[in-house]
Amino acid sequence: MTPNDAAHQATGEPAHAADTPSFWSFVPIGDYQVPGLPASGAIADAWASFRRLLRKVDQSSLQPARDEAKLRALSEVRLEHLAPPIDPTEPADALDAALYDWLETKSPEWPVRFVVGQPHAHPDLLHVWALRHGAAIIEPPTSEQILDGDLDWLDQWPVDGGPHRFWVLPQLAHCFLRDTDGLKLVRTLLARAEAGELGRGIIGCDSWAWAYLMHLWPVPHPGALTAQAFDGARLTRLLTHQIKRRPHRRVRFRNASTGRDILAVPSEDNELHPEIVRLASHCRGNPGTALTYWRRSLRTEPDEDMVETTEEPLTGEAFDEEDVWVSAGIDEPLLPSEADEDVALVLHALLIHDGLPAALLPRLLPLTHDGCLAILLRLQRARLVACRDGRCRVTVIGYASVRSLLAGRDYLTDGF
Amino acid sequence: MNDTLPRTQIFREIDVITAIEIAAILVVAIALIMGMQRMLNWLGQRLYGQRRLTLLALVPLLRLLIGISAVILIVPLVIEPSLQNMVAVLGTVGIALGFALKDYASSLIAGVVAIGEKPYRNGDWVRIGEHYGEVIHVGMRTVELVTADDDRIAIPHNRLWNEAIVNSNDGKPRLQCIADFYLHPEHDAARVQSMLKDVALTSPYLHLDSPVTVIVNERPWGTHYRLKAYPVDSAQQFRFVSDLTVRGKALIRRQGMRFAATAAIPDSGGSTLA
Repeated sequence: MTPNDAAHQATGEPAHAADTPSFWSFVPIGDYQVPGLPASGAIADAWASFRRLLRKVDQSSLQPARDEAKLRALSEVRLEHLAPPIDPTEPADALDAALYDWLETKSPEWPVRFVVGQPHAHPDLLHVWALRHGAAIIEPPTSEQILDGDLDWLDQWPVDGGPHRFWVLPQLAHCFLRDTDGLKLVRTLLARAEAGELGRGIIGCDSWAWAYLMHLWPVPHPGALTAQAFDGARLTRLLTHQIKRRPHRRVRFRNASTGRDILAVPSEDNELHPEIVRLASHCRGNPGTALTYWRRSLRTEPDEDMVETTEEPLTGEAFDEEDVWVSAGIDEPLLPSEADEDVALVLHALLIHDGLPAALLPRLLPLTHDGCLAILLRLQRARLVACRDGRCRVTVIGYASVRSLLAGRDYLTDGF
Repeated sequence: MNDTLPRTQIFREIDVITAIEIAAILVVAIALIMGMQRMLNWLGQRLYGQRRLTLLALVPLLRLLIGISAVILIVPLVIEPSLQNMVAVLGTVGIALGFALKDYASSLIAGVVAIGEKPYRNGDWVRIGEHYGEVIHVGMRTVELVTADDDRIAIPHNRLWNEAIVNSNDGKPRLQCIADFYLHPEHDAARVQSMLKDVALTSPYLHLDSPVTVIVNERPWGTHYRLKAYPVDSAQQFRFVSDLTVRGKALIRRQGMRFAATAAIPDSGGSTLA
């Protein structure tokens, strides 16, 4: 990538629309623009929220909504072709572009740069970026180190002069705990890193942890970057870009209830379809959650998977068409509006720490061990929380509901 | 003939149809008031923060509007609508109420004033006299509070006239909470101040966008710290103060600081300055 391309992408302008996916761009946090809805969509959403408010939900069950019955979900193989997960090299290219000046300058104004991302927006981005630049990846401290305020963890830092030019701390959210003993390490880390004592590096941070840390460490960070929101136009380009189709095959994504086209690839149609605008707005520009919702909404006729590869290759401009149905409703787990306060506390703690080991929850919250476990189990059954690799996190499909619940109750939310 | 003249000039003849009309207006007004109160209270329980308080504050206002509308509809059915008639009837009613039901009328009028001046609204946390609690109902004659001990207290509105009403949140979702800590005077006060700020920052109930302050006062028996912060929702105030106290106490103990357990009693015995 040339500096020219980099400059284009840093300003959010398309550089090489043909070969570089320009829908990714990193901008200062203050420039993030949450996608809005046209008036009709906003009214429909408000009406849906009002109906949800009136609906009596059995609090004890927290059951998810029902799937559509007539159509079947796509097989994993087809999903991998039609909507594979985001390739982290693409946002890494955009991050390179946004950091171009900083990377090229020997004594930059800021020794560290912060990359703030919404939950599930671009996992593994900083690992890929670190590998690309030969940067040292800093593993987060253990919870014991955090609670002991063990500053030896900082002494092992690869400062300038070592084999690595940069270092990358992919997840700042895992370097603190919201406990009176759990803040010392992260404060020292931020103070030393921003003073340049740790050399040059990139610190990745979840947007919720960032919102909290800005109260602990209230220093302005004009250089902190985030991926610009995926509004309807960007999301359309992302979904189009994700499809791996065979030549001479047009894939048509059609609304399952109306039959109208939502997206066709390839297509000369540049129209923004309301379904995608609504999806972008619902996900507040988060590409990771939007792609997951998209994957979950794709449907097929019961016997369609079986006849997928039988056509002869066509020539010229003729296209063989493949229809994929898109479920009209968004299948997401809903929290009842009466969800009690303890549930909100647990969810908020999970988001602020980008997931937590279940055993730490009673230490951080004024709840008993059994109470925390019971709430976690309820949330897991409701598909709002999933526990993997020793950490319980809010799920991709539960994130929008959880954010909406916490925002509605005035808890601290991320700035996105 | 002469005896009936004033009555016919002021009051209309009330036939069966008029009586049914009046009854219908009363029934509809009462049904509207009850339905509105139930619906808004039910909705209010499902909302949080400012939206909840705004909705609940509408209840007494709407009830007053429905009541006034009912009176406006009923009065012309009973009285010939002229200025003299109105003054005569309302004046008579006013004098009767003033003498016979002075306190009741005073509370009713204070209830109307309360709707206008808003010294308390549904959802506010108020102290009236020795009672502190959440306003759950602003009625025609009384305001009802639920205290932290789950007691329901009805207080006549007429206490507005001559008593201070302390409103802790004044229609806003947040109110300031204070956790007190009493330490032995031998310690680093600046460090304790900083520690107590962290205590607030780590409480999950804290509204992070509101200020956190620590006030320090030196007393004869030790040092008094007042940790002031705001919970996310006013209903969390008691849990919030408890959480601050538990966290603060644990941290202070871990740091090896001593609490001011007993007040130092000045020696009043035989020692003299001389």
